[in-house]
Amino acid sequence: MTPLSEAESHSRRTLLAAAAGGALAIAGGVTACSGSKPLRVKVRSGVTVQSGDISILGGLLDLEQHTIAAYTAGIPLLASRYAKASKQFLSQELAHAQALTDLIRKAGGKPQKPHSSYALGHPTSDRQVLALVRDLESAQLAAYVDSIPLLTPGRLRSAVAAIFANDAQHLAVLRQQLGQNPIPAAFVTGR
Amino acid sequence: MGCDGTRRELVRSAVAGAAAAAMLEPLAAGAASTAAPSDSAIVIRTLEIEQLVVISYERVLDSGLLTRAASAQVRSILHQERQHVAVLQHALRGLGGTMPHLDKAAAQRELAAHHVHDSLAHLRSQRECLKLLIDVESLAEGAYFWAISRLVDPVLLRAAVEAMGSEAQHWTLLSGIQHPGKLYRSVPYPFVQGSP
Repeated sequence: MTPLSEAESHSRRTLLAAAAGGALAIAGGVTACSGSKPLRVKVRSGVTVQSGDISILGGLLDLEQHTIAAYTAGIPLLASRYAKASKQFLSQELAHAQALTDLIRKAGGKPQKPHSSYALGHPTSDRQVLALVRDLESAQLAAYVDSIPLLTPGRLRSAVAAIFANDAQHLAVLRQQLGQNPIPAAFVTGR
Repeated sequence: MGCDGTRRELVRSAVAGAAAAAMLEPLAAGAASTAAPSDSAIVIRTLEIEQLVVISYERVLDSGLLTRAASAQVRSILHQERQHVAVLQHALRGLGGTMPHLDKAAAQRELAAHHVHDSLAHLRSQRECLKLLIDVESLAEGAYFWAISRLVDPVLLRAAVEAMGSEAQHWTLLSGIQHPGKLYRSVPYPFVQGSP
């Protein structure tokens, strides 16, 4: 992806910061509106996380944060018929990031914060934005497939696989929106 | 902040996700009380579910109830399900396990055992066909979700993860046919674990 110039980075950061703040505000409001036990509490319940899992989960969190930034920056550029799906996926990616954050804390680690900016290129059309998030979702899937076998055996692996499977669903829809075969392979590798 | 249409969609998604995540706790309690199954036993269990899935897809396609467009998509999914079966059978041979075999009568009993009350023999509409397939895809997701927490062999584990992703995609595609234009129905939860 094309790195941004300093001026572009600044304006992009401003957009990302404003948009991310908006996305988080929506997510925080969603939790308040749902009235249920915090999702993150339920996800981490009963899962054993060890210190050796921290760096692996941190890598996955980094990718989720990158994808969140892309959705946040890209949604305003999408026509409404595409934006609806991306908004839903953004809310789910935020839930993924929170779950990973909680798992890292459970292991005694300190989750990293999102970067101040991400190299997102210069998408200007629906197609370019959708291709951007599609590629990031694919990268996430590849990372999850590589990472899950390295995690502590047991429910942690299936809890993280539950995130992976949702990202696989995102990819299928995004591919469909791009006019591609939504399910090109019987085994989802992200590659 | 007021609740607009987009916010309602996000709330629906978050609430659905919370409900799905709540199912993790009972699963944890049940798992702790049983001895760890071998990889062979896990593959057998997963293969039985995949065989059930294949039988269901074949039954739906034989019914002639699907539109041409739906039929094409269902056929492509069946092709992938057969690949899942082939990989699991190959793995089981390598482990020296006993190959399970599921016929249609046993498949119906297996559905009932998993509290899926769709009929394999008396499908009457495309809607019923898709409901059956969505329900068995949930079972497949659940089988892999269960297997992933228990498999020891890293190659088998990786294959199970990849297959679970595939089942989730199938579920989404079928739900999209069943509920066109309603994304909150085809990708409702941030955490996918299927049905036990």
